[in-house]
Amino acid sequence: MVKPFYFIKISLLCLLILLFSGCSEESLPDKTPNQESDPVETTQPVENVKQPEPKPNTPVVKVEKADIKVYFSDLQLENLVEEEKKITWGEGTTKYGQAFLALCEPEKETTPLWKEQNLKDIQISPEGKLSVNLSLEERPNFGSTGERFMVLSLLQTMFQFEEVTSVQFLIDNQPVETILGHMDVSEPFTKEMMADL
Amino acid sequence: MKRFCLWLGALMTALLLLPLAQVYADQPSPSPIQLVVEGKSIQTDVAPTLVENRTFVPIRVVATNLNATVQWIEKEKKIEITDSANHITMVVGDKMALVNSQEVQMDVPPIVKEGRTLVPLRFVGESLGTNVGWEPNTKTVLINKFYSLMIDGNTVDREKYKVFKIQEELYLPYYPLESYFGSGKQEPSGETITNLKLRKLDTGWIIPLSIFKEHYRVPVEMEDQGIYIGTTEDEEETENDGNSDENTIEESSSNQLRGIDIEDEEIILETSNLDDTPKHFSMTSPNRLVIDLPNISLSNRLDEKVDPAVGMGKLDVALDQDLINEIRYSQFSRDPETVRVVIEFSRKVNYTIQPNKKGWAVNLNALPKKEGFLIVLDAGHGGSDPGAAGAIGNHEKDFTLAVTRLLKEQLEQMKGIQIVETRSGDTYPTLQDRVQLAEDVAADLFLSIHANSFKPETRGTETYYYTEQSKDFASILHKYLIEATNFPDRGVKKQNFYVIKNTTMPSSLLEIGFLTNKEENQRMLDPGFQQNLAEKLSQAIYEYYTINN
Repeated sequence: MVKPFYFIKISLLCLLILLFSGCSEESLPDKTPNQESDPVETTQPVENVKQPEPKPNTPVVKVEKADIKVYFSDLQLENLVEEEKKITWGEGTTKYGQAFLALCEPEKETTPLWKEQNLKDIQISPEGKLSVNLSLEERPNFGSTGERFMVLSLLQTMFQFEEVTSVQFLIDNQPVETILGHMDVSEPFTKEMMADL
Repeated sequence: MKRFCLWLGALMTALLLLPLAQVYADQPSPSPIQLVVEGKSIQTDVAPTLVENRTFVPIRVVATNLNATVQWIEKEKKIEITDSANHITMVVGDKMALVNSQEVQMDVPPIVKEGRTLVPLRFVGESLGTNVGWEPNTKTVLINKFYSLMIDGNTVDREKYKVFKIQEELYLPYYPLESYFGSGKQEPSGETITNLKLRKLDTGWIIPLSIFKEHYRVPVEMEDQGIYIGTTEDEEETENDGNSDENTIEESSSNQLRGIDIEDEEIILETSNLDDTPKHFSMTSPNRLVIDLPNISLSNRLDEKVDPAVGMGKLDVALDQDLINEIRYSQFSRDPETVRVVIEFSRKVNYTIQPNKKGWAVNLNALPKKEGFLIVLDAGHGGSDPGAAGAIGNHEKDFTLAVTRLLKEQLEQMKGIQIVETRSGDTYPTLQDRVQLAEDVAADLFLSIHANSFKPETRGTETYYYTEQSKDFASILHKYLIEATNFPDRGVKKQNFYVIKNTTMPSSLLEIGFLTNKEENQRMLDPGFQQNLAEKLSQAIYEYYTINN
């Protein structure tokens, strides 16, 4: 008596799985539009970098590069200013780490919101949660407005990468209530939350 | 499949209706009354029934589950129940029973129902020397053998407090152990019930032995049907033996709690030395503070006042003291020696414990009672968090505190307005603490004072709000704020900063000006500027107050 329902459910499930797997296979390469791939390389840089090389005698340095957008502040702390930057990563560096470094060095007459010393490490989980582990030994001298710009500039930069679904700030590897005493960073930020920031 | 769904549905409903009660997952019984014997759920062919609020079972259930022999003498309607040690005689409809040749009055007599003889389970169980309990939430009767319970050398009243077995776990009566939890014979709070996995029987609350062990590293020994908690019998004996000269030894050498003094909003625990820092934690319903003093014993003076029945002494608290309800103390553990002091409050209180020349001083900072239109003033940053650094090396935390204090003075002159500060000195309450305070005192407004910081050229005053209900408050504040600072107007902005996002009352965060700008910094450090700023902000708050009240 219940069998037909079961059958329908299972078929639906299969159909869904098929649909989804189909989707991702087709769209994956296109979904990182900012990323210029070296023609020789594949389009999934992070995994490729980490894969052990089969021939240790002839190490191939795989370098990835991309044009990304990074964000700085204007002098009056009124607006975030967008800049285009080229980043490269490969041996010992990651896309996110390089993107962070780009956030520290504006080319135009703008003010950076981050310093290299503020980042301890940056890691992404298989689910796309980016953990940004900060050091505040050198405390950025910002008020609430500056803290907001700091957080916002990093989030906007990292969320341009399709695979980053959320960003969690940590200080010395620990989750914290706030970075500079105003913004609530206890929970990870998601892309959906950006509209409210 | 269908039956499974129904069962699942029933289980879910039961879970929803009884959030605190654990439902026996073993077997769902069709009977509303469950029988658990020696921890195991028992299925009987005839279900136990409730008559006059007493559980009755067929006599055969007694025979098969309580290891007793049952005889039914039809002619006299007489029931004879015998086990290795006891003999019970009962007659249907007769409240008088014979237990080991003694006449005993039952509150309900055996009955005949639908041709079956039913006996009151509790009476029979207890007469046979077992522990019988009833859990109303799950409609469960628990029966298991008797365990003697000894706590710190004192035998617990077996009639009053009983040990039960549910599945493989032993459950201890909560109240006799209660001094360990420091709650003073109060009904445990929901939090306590959940944390300690307490269950409520008609005989009182019970706690799983494993949970008790987990929370308190008190020695627990099991011996056949005896459970020994705290100091063992042997130790107790030696202590008793040496009792007469023990006190003299203690007085000369070891650390003692000599007295407990109440002085306004301070309680002094007078100790002979300050070698060991006390451990402390607070609990709710009722609000209380528990302090454990390690490696210390009670002085004779305090020890004399200990009521041996409960092992606790109480301090007389003056009637005009509306904050402290009661202070209790006990020699909580002997090895190592620990004294526990429990201070019970009439309302929520913040405290610090610091050494002073007499001993340990407990400074109390009670939350005020709401008496008017209440504004929580929050001086940004503080303590370990200096906030931003100003152009001449000054700290934001000092500026925010100075302004807040002046603002408080202004507002306190206004009728109907009450002020509570998140900090009155150089301390760092977390953002959550600040929000919590505002919630705890049921504030009507929350105002956070900050100063901004960026590049030397960056300037201006801005006002932040987050919730829609805060918009008017922010606008009024900003109008007066700009008048006071005369800095460039950066406007009123909506932004989800922690303290204005998480407070439930109208709230706002002010960035008075930029400490990194030489000119603005200089002005903000000027006492005249600060005074004028405080006056203007108090006017803004008063305007909001009069519009909304």
